[in-house]
Amino acid sequence: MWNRKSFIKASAAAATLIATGQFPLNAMVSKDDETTLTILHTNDVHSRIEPFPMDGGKNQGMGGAAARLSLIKSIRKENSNILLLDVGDIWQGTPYFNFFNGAVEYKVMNEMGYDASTLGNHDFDIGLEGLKKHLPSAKFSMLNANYDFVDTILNGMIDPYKIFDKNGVKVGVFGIGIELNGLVPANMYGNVKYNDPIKTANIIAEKLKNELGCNFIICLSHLGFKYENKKVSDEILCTSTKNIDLILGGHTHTFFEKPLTYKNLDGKEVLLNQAGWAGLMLGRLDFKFKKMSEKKYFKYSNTFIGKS
Amino acid sequence: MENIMVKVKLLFIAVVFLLLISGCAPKYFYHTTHLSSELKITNEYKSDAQIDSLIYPYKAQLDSTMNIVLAVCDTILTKDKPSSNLGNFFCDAIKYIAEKKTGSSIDLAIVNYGGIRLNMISAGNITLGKVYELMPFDNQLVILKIKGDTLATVLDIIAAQGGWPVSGVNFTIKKNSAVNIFINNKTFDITQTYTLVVSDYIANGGDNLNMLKNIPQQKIGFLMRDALVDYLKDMNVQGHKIVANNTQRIKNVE
Repeated sequence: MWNRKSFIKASAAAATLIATGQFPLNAMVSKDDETTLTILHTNDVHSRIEPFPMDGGKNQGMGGAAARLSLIKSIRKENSNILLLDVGDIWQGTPYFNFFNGAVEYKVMNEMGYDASTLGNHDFDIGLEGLKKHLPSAKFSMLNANYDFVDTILNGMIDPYKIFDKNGVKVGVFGIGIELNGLVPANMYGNVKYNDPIKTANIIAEKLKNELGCNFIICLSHLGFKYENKKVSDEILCTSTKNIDLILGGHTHTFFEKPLTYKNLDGKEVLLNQAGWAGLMLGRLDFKFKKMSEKKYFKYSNTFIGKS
Repeated sequence: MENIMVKVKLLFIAVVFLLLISGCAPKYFYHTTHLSSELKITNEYKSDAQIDSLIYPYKAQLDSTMNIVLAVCDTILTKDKPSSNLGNFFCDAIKYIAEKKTGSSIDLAIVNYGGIRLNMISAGNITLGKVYELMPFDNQLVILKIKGDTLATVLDIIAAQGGWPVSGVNFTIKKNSAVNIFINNKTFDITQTYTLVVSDYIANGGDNLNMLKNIPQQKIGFLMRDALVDYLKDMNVQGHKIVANNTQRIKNVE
């Protein structure tokens, strides 16, 4: 944590304070600077551009990009400090994908102001060429930390993580993907190498927290909520990692009524949430952040208060 | 006096260094999470004009082709495990078309549970768009000559997963294995070779059916989706509505 560079910086800062004779004591100790971050998320939207048709089905009239944006806009009016995230499987499921090959989904997400997404297995359905073609048009970051793209045409196009400054709060967001072998035809993902999600998540979260000084860490995971067998899942990710504050899930199309809380490897709480599929639901979590000295508030607790 | 000021300054330096060195610089900690809500996107949210105008040209193009009615469904069809009328419909359709295209009989059809992409089809018109949603993947129909012992392994995997859509085969799931297997109402014979129609995804070992990978594939150059379309057209031409077949082809042991 303490290296030569930051020591010099600190010395310089101290020297400046003395020289000017101004010592911002209140900034160091007492002033509670509070900010609320609203996290909105979707997963497995599967090319659902339009609402479900009025055909008597249980989802009739629900979903649709236009209604989603109108909801997002109303939330943005309430709080402009928002992160809008997706957890993959943007593509595949309606003729919009078959006929326009992925262009409409990205355009719609750009319009809504998505900040980041991760790759689901179906985002490989038109191969690496499809991603190479469309990723440059995405105004959001496509994040994945456990697929190695070095030997592929996507090398350099997908970052493992991104840090967002949200009203002074450093939020680290990274992506974790499901094993593609056996799930996605081999010719579609080519030389993408799959690395262990748990090991990778721990390395990245540690880096974000301790090296890059993030205040809050979010993992976008397309592993799936949980399985009957020992297959790696979000539940396993929650309990086998450290330093992650929130995991947003996907793949299993699970509608969470409210976020679940797990104890991570350090015994600290980690939240898990998933918003079903098809853009039928928008997940929302609001977090309050207080600027405070580490000593005084070394322990923090996440208290889930409830549904609005 | 000056002496005191120097002392104060020195004290400040010490305090600042202590604070910085011990990592006590101001940091952000989140202390509450509140208002966690799962917001249902219902039609009470007014449609956003920005999106409507963006998608309009695409929607107009799709509507002109996708709203074609292929057949009429008499009742709602739903997908479920171990067996369901939507699964039965899907597998009957691809078996029918595989037989029609090859002119020879097919013993059984298997579709992976995740391969059927709608959970239900409402009663009423089945449009081309609906078939795209049911089967959005461009998977080909593939015919395999499968040995009895390999088929037994495949059926065990299906049983362990709680049952997949099938046609031409009936069995019971007992302790994650397939028992009381019948192929076209005849007792399953492990020494026999059967004709199976599946998607190329499954034939290539998808959904962990690796044992199928090495079987030579007979491709009939036909998408699964097109098979569904042709089946529906045939039924319509013949004056048949699509009716629910509620046979429990796969059962859980009592």
